[in-house]
Amino acid sequence: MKIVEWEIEDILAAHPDLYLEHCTVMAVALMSRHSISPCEFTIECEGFSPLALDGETRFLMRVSWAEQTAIKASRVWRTEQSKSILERAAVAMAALLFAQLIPNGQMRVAKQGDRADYWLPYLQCALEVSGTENHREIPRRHREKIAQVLSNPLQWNGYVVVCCFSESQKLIRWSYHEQEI
Amino acid sequence: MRRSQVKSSKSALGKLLGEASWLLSHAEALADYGRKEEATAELARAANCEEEVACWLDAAGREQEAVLHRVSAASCYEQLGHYARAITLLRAALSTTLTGAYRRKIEQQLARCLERAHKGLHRASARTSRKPNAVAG
Repeated sequence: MKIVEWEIEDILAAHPDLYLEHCTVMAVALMSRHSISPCEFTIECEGFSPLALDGETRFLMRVSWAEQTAIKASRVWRTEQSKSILERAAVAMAALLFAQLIPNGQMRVAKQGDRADYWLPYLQCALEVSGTENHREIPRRHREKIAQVLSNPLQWNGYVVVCCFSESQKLIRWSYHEQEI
Repeated sequence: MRRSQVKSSKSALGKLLGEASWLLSHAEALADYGRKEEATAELARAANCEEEVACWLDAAGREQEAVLHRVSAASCYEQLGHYARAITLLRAALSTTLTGAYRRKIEQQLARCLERAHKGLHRASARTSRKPNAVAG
């Protein structure tokens, strides 16, 4: 299985149309609870394989972080709710995957009611992201997100990223879905 | 329009789309950090920017994307409590061809904004009627 290693702070420059500093900090807050830097995730791709992986659909991603980010992350649990930490951390992971493995994978956000919807404008794709700490929740969460991404108002194809930050299993399910014609 | 003009207007639109996205994500971050006043100010800037983006997308013939950003602007105004502005934008969004599910979502959002605007009006009327008559006889 291929192994890649990236710094979480890489997403700040890779996505100029998003302010992601707080997502970076929240990702480190979650990762550093059970791991020292780097934290290792298993990535499972469905419906596509990033070009750099030569057709492989599973790989290991080691995510490292800077000391300065760790200092900010240590303060997060005192001020934030765990649900919003999970959501923002998952956005950071998705931003890292698209920045490193998908050409033209820059993300944008738009507000739809109470929700923040993410888009990949250069790929004409919608993006749904979700985070959980319970690995048993992954299949259900993934199904829900597939339905959501395919019902996007622009009727674009879509990617789904579901991140599990459980102590026993750090797993990201990353899938691509096309609209039925 | 000359080719160079088309190119520059496209890149200007791209820049504005990026700016709207950045402002929205920054407003969310400020809210996450509990910096409410700054978050509100940033959300207001994002709303203005999204509204402008929607007009530009309309002009560029990208009607469906324009709707998305018009609803985004409306969602910002709704969060800011500027329901009248949100209602105008949602009505404009509903005047175009939309998928059934998305239309229903916008209609629900419009109904919510109308209800809140109505409650706001009711409260304002109650305050006015409670005030003692300022002009003495």
